[in-house]
Amino acid sequence: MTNTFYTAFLSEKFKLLRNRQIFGVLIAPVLLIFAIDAYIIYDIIRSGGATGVPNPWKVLLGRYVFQFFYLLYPILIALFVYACCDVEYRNNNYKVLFTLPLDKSKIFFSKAVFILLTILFSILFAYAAFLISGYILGLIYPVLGFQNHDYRLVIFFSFLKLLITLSAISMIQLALSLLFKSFIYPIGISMFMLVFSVFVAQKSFSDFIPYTGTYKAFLDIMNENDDFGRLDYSNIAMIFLFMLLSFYIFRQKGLFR
Amino acid sequence: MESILTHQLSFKIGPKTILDHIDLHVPDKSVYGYLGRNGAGKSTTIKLLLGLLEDRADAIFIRGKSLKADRSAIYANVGNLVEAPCYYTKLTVFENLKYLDIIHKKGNKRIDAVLEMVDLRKEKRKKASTLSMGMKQRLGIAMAIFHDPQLLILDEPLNGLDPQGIVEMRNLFRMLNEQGKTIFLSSHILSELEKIATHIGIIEGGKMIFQGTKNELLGQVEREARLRTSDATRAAMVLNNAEFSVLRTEGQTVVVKISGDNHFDQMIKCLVQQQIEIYGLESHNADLEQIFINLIARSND
Repeated sequence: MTNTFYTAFLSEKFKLLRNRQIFGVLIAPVLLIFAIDAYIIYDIIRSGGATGVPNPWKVLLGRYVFQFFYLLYPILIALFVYACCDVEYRNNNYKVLFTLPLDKSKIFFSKAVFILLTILFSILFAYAAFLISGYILGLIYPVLGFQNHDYRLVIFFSFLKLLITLSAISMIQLALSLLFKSFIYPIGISMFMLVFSVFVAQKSFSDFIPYTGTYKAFLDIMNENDDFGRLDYSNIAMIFLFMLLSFYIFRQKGLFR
Repeated sequence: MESILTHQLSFKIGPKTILDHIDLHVPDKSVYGYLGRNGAGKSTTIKLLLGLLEDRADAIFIRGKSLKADRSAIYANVGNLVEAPCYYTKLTVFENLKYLDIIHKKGNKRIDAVLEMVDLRKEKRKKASTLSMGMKQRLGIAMAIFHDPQLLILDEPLNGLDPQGIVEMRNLFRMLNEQGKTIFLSSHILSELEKIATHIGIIEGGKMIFQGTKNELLGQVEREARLRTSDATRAAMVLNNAEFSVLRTEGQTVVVKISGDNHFDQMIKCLVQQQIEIYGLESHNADLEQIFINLIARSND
């Protein structure tokens, strides 16, 4: 059987794995964490020795990593999602895509699932790198006190919330990338929303803006918050809402090109 | 069976009618040349046939199946190249076909065979973005024929090819046709279409102004035959008696209006039977280009 979701997914995977941007999404956060580790070690060496901090998972590692994440991740996601659509824009490849013996729904959802899976793996790699960093720093500098604090639950939920937020952002970016052929609009809108979300993060309506999620993930790890809130439920709803909206735009693309 | 059949296919963009009740009949195993001026509606027809534009009236039937109802099954047996070739620039030539192989499951042997057919075997490992224009066109054709479709829909497939490439592609289309494939193609290189098409459809202003076999089209046109004979006056009389349409005599030459190859044969037989010697014979054949221009002019009148 040719017309199956699995076939559509395999073909999308084959094509999209050739995008350099995917490695940006998968590797950049891990490299960033290791770069922060290197900075922490450099800072200890420069200051002449390690001194204990109240909760190094939060004050040392979490603060730096999530501060970078809230700015870096949405842009990486926006670039990656646009790249997934751009392969079809080049040479008007939608003509190939829409004349394959595959249902448009299968093609679209395989693309969307591929994007979500890539984000999942990216978060898993970053989560693993974060934990490994803490354990290694704890081994090298026991005085920092990584081994004395059980912060696993907060870390897990912070990464889980980050995953949900980024998934919602990815679906919004997918809708924008399908809507606009030009690179400027989806990337520009994501950057604007990122800046805007910092300003409105304290407002109650900000829970309905997924772009505030990465900033709030930073606040969560700093405030030791492991509760699921309105933002997280809203983001879960946004994933499905924007996935359906993207599907609608995708179908229309096939008809009017 | 007809490979492509449309019933009163129409398409509008806003108030503007792009296609006006088109009845396409593309016989199985034919090479159907689809002609028309720029903006006549050729590309719109092709996009409708491929489902890239929506046919709301369910007027398109491919190999007996409604395109609207059975899209995926139909596409398994249709190859296409619309306007410019489509390929993934970040993939190599081989990977572009491998991508299709994931869907059609034909195997690496088929990839090699298709690359051989379009003469791209040496470029197998090259990134598609680095190919020359002609090679990109060949890759587009390779992608269109990869899954061994029974019907090929090609819009300007010879664009960007050098003369050698055009000859090779013509031979490839002939070979595919001999294998029983139906080829529906539009091209502005009319001399090429004349060489390979078995059937012709001409569209003007969104309306079909001719559809039939190539011979029917060529047969529609009246030709002039100029016969240099031993006795032009007697030859004119003999031909007139045999109900040929003699236009005039010019010295030893008789100018006769003929239509169709059979009439031409009969005219010569007639003169030979009357022992009139024929010293020379000229026939002005209107080519497809001339016929096309005449038909367009007639339809605009």
